[in-house]
Amino acid sequence: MKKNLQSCFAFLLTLSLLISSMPLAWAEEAAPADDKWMIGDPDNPVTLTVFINFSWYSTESFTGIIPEEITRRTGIKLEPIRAVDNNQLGVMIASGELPDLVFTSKLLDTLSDPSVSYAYNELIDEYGVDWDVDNSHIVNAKAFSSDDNYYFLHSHAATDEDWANTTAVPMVATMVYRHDMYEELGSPEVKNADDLENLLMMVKEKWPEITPLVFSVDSWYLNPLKTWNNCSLQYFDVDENGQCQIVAKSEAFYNYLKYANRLYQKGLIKAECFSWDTAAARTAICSNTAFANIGSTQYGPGYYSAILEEHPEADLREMMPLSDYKLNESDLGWAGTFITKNNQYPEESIRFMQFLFSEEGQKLSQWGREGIEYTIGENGLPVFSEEWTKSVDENTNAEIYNPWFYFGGSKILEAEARCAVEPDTYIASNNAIRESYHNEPWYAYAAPKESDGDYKVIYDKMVDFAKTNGQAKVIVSATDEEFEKNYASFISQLDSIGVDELAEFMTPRLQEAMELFGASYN
Amino acid sequence: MELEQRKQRAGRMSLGLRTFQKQGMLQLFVLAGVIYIFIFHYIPMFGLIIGFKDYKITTGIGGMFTSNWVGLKYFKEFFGDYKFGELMRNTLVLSILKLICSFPIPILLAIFINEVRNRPLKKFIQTVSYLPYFISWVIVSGMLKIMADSSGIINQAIVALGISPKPLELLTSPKYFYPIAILTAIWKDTGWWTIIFLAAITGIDPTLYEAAEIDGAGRVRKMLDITLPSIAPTITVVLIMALGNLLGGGLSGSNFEQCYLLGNAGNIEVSDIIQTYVMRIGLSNARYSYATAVGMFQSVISVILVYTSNLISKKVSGNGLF
Repeated sequence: MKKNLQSCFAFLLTLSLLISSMPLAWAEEAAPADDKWMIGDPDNPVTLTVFINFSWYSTESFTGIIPEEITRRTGIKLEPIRAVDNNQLGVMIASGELPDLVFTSKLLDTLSDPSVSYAYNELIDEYGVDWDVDNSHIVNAKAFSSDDNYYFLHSHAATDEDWANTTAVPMVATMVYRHDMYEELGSPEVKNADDLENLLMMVKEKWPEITPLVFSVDSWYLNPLKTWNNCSLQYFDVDENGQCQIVAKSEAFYNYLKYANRLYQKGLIKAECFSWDTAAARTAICSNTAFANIGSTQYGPGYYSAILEEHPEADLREMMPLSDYKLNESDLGWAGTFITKNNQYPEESIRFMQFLFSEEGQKLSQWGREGIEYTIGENGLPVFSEEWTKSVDENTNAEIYNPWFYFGGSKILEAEARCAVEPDTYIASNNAIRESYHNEPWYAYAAPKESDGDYKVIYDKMVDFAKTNGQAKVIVSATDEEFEKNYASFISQLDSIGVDELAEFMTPRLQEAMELFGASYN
Repeated sequence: MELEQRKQRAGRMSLGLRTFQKQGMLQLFVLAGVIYIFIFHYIPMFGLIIGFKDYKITTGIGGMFTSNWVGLKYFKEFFGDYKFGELMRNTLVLSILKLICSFPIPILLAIFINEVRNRPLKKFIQTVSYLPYFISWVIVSGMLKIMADSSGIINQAIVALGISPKPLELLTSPKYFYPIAILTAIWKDTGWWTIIFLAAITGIDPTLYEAAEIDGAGRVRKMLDITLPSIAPTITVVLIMALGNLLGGGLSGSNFEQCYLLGNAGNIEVSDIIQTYVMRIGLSNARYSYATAVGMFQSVISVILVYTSNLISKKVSGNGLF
């Protein structure tokens, strides 16, 4: 009798648990997929291999909530192969061993070749795909093509107009500083580069063991110092007569180098930063050994949260722009996905790319499922679920949701997702930086490509030299005399590379590109 | 007479065949090595032709043969490069300094280890000196970046000992790059080469030492008059091999790894060598023709160095590699 009662109780308990969990299960399950984007069969999906040409990429597996949902809506599954190093793709192209898709930001011109990749426009025509590709995307992609076709579309492309319609901030170089220390110094006014120098000097005097400003050479380098000294971030500039100028030879560039050298001579920056990567600079902030770091708007306070363990008083803020000079970027977009000639499913591939570039595909791949992972807040920014936020805090977001298959990703959505989780103390600086931002895509558009032969070689050498390697010696000059000597050598080496010849070659190209984008040089 | 010669020839051939049959298993090992070298070292040499061609990677392997000839274009580009002089200087200076500083050390260490009578201590020294060889340059450079940082243990010691009032820019100043590269190469590779020389020492006839002892020779005398001359052929072979790889880093062949991992914008004027530059300007931009031409230039220099050093060695000491 007792046994029967126990069995009955267990049965009732199980039944009640099952019944109570059913609404929860229904609520968690996403709405059934409509057939709008169905390309294959979700139960027996078409598998496309994709080479991801970024060795640092966070994922190499198409698993997690977002990839599963992509398959559920499209019937397509990806099999990613992450690059081992920067040279792997070149060898794969040469050996003809390319997978179905290649996602890359390098060798765009090499892959835009009819013997290697399918042209998007030809596939759209051939399979009658109802995809009205934005003309600016086509123009930008054709810049890398030697024929009149386009073989990819840039992901993460955005124009000034796009930025005008969002409250988020573009991913650009900026300076994060310790606002709590700044207040301790009496909140001195910082309106320009000279004020910044004074502030860093005050930091050095009050806390001699702290490095006032740190940076790294692998990404954002000293870019804000350039902008705040009215120097362009591009390699080329166009004067009022339409002539191409080499920025590294300009007076503004000299002023920027002089400013950085002054910081070095005063001990406000250290030479060892020239051997640092982003992680080392972050460590300096998190270990309370630096006052400010040059990073990017991508890194909110969460990126430096480790400092709070030992120093809960640490309040990190973004520096406001310190000059009226526009933060000029030249951005066509980030990476492209090529449909290679080895691909057995070109129709499915082009339809899949259409999905990834659609608003639905972009939001799904970057934010997850609407109503489950996010809802749209009053300010237009996404409000993420507690589970999503928790996964970000616990560093399990990539594992659980995997929002890394944004091959058609939107830069605006990326920025909005980033800004949605930032504290209110970032709103003013984000707004000021966004308003200071100006995209000048014609420089990237006109930059020498592989088909330009020797000019591309000169360009590559100039970039290699002028970006960081040639600057470092000038910046770490011990005296003003040494600075002038090293600067003269810097200019002489640029001349030896042949940059004047390159400027001559670039003049008509840039004029043409500016005309194409509706920009004027006079 | 002719018949006699034929018989002798047939006899020699059958003897050769019998010997070959007897060594069957050993010959198979040799064959495996020959096949390996043929496939992975000789066949790829056909690829050298792209150093003289306008090769585009999109044309695939077939493009190596069908692309247009450009003669010495890429060699001229390299010789006329604005960094050619600096790259040659850096490559040669680093290689020669490493050869001079690191070559004698394993010989001396091998001789000293051989003189240690306490076997556990001998094994301990050998193991300790040998272990760093198995640590990759990536790890070594990572450790060094932590230790030689301005707040690292090395700089703390430098300041504490009063060598310098403030931390030295060990990682970014050009003047410290060569000493760091040489010291780390010695630390990492000495143990490995010591084993080669110890093996040579083991092969020395012990009766030579006994005879020397009877003649009243002390330890130093035995080292100078027996050990060193006995391992001279090994030293010669190793030296020729090191010279052949001079542009790659001599004994350890680690120039690229060191310069790539320890080089930075601060010390690039001395740390940028031919291989790192080709990596950046050639390979990273898929300019395989240019990279091949420069690689071939290095190989030709290496071949010349091997033959010259072999010739000199044979004339001077009577020992040579071939």
